[in-house]
Amino acid sequence: MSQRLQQGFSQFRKNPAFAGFVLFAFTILLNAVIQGPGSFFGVRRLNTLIYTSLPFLLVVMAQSVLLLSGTMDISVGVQVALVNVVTIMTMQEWGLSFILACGLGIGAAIIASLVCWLLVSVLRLPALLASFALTYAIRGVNVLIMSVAQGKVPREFYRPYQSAIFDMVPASILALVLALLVWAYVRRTRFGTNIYAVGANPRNAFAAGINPAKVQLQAFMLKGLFVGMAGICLTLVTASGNPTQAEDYGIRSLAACIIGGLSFGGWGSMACGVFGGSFLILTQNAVEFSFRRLGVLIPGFTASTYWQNFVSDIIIFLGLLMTMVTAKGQREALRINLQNSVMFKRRAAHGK
Amino acid sequence: MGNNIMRRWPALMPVAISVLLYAFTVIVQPSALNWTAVTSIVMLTLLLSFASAGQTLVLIGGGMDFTVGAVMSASAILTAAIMNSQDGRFLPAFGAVMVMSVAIGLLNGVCTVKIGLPPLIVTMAISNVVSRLQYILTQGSPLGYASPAFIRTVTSQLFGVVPSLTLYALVLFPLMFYILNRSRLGHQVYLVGNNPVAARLNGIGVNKVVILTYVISAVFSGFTGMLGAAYMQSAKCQMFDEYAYNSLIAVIVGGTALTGGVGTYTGTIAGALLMVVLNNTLTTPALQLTPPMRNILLGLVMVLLLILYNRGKAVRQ
Amino acid sequence: MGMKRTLVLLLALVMTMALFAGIANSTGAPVDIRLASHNAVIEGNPYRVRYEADIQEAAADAINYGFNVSYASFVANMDASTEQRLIQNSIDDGYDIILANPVTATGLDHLIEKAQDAGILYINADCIYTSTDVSILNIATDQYYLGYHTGSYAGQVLGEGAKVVMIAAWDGNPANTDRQRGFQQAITEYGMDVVASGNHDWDAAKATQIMTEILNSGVEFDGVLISQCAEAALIAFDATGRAYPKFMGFNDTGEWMQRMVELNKDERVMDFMVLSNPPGVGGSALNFGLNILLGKELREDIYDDESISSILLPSKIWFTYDNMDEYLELANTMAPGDAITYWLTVEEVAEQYFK
Repeated sequence: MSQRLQQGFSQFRKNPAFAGFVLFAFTILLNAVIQGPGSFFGVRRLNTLIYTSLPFLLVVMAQSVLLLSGTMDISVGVQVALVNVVTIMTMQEWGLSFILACGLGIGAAIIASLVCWLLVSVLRLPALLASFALTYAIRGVNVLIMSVAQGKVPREFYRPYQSAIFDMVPASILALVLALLVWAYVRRTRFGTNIYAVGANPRNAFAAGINPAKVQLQAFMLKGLFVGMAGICLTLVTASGNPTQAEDYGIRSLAACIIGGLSFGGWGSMACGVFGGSFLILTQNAVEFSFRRLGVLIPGFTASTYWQNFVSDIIIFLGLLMTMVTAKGQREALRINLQNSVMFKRRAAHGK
Repeated sequence: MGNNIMRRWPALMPVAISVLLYAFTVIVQPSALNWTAVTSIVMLTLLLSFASAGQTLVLIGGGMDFTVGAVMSASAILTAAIMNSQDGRFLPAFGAVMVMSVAIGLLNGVCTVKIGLPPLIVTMAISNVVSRLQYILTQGSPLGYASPAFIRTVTSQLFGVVPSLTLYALVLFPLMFYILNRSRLGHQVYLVGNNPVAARLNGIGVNKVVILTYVISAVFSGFTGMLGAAYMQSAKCQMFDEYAYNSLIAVIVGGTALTGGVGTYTGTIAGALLMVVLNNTLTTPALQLTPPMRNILLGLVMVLLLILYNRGKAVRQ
Repeated sequence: MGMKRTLVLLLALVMTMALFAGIANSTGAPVDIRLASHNAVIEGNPYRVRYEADIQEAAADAINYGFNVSYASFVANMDASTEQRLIQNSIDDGYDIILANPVTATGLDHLIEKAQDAGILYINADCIYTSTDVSILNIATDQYYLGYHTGSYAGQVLGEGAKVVMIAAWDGNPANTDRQRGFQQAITEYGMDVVASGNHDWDAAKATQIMTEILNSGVEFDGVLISQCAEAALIAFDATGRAYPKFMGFNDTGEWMQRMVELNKDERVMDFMVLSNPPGVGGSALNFGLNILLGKELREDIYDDESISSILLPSKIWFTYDNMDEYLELANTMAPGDAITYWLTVEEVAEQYFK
């Protein structure tokens, strides 16, 4: 029995999501200990934590798709704001229904993703810099669409999003589940396997008969869908519009994916991203809470926001250091595996 | 043919574009042709060039240093605090800044090499920590001003015309050129950036070289932070953070590849000039560009520059 | 319409008071009040740093009026969803007073309703919350006055038809919008001409950068109107070696006062405006809340805009070259990064605004 367990554990250790899972588990434990399990897992708190964190998690999922396919896009943050302002302004100025406006918002995210695809896959500009340049452009567009924060979302939409079904399950988690289902489906298609090959080594993939540009196009479309969903969730969280929000989601989502164990292309899984993103959120939550707790326990101690932010960032840096222990060896192994599988495909394609 | 010229003299294109942009500015707003503007452009270009010197070295070696801005800000705060408006304290300030810079540079280098994660992420995390430290140590309100003598060496004008900052350039530019082109380290950096495996097989201590590039980068950033403190006379937390991105862009636009092994410092200086002039053009009052339009144009121009300079190799060959 | 608004506000306040009816006793033991101060940002913004420090001081001072106020600070770092989460947590944690300086002027309606339903006293301070669908007190400094007073003085010393540079703070922020309205009114009245403009976003380096760019462009101007951060604009002149303009204003920091006093100590070199935009407005807002908890009733004629129940507090301290001498001590004893600040005590608030 214990041998089975050991085997299972070493199998799990090889899973790309292992590093991220360790960090995730650690912060869940930390939160439960600091806040007390009754309080942390209490419905209202957990619901608040989940419904406000969902936009960021969806963005991390979007970024994961891109990282797997060998690119990245740090303009995802301003794209989320783009979805938000498009949704609010079309509702406000053109009198569209909220659902229709959301559709347009998602459309805007997909168009922005298309532009990024053009720059990165077709023109082959370095993804980091091209998407950084795109950030400026989209930031300007956001303010052009909506100059001042404004707008309202009808209550019948944001109330359900922010509440808990049967007083137990946060309604917002359905968005995450939906995104995961979409990814699970996509993963099983041809695209799902091609994305890894293209991410690892586009040239080999091309030689094996896969069109990298086309695969990356599909990746960007999917990422646009996830960003659109994130934008709608953010609109439901704030129940209003704001052209200058969520900018830092771009870099933070990248950091979350990397901490979770993803690398620039061809290795990892969606779970890496989700765990990494959750790690960032839960760290912030734990630090906030412990400082508040200290403020209560030690009279006269005022929770300085400087220390809070500092501790948060130190924990994230330590999380990075930890991936050294958990992730490095695995990547070598899987890269070799991947090369073998692509070569195998090539032989199969050429009928050998 | 065009490609060849760009490869031989990478500084040519950015300088040409800068001249065109400035000419355009003057045509649109004739009053923009004045000596204040030129000295301003020269000073900002020099500051950015100093900050980007180390970044050039790091990028050629195949890495990326995101802590340039944070180190500059931290060093500016240290300088203002130690000098505290009094002359004669340059050496202690310089010493403190150097110690801090070397420490951060070592941290950058060692973590990048040992953790094995993309240098972008590692140096970004470190720059966050450095920024937070600034707030904690100063409680958000840094005290002190740079000393009057030091400020004069940065902001005054020789013979009433030439910015005195160029005196610093007379020291720093040759230093950087020597490191990059003549020293053994420079030679090794190019090799490591081009092909680390081959370099290691050739007996080069790759890790040591990489760590050194980060240390040198931090040292240059730290010194530039001191100059920045004199330029702004006092320091605020995170004051120079945008230099992280700006130095990256200046280096890339100057012809250094993100993948490493290729690049020159003249290119970086030209790239810095281009970014400063571009900013100057976009803020010309006569153009009446609203901030969102400026952002959009800035994005477009950057994309154009990237298309000119940094396209990756085609997959089909 | 105005009456209705006031009535609804009074109703909300009465509900809150009712829940405290048992607690607030005027004889003997101090009442424990838990205060949650929500701020959009603190890091990098000296105004907001002082704002929080003043609320803490005012909270500590409240013991003299029978309130043992415990203070907790929450910062959203300009992120709207973090702000939502922090306020929702404060509601769940059962704070007695929520004092908010929000990220944007809208978008918190649903949280405000939840807070009021739970009997929490919700007050908005400093940056006005503009939604008319909720009834909360908005306590802010009269920003319009700051802009108008500075602009008028500039018009007086520069004369009609003068050319000016106008540098504002945060686009879209309600405090900024009101200040700019004030500036614009003065500009129109004195026939001044705005030849260049920009936004400094409360970033000193950016203020210097914008001023440098304007100097580079070679436009001629007589005065600089700037929404605080004036000393950063002054640095641009130093760095480029250009002669100072005839007027610059306003700001209220130690550095600005010291530089102006030093510059003009022998003779009038440059006209200036030191005008306080007190970060202590948060402390004043807290004291409004404490008066409400004491059971006092607000007067009817105190609102600047009844639809959002906004009460604007006038600026109390200002000086120019003409009355500089009276303020020399103040100028020289203040830390460079600190600003003139003060707030209305519980008594002053009661005197001026309550029945």
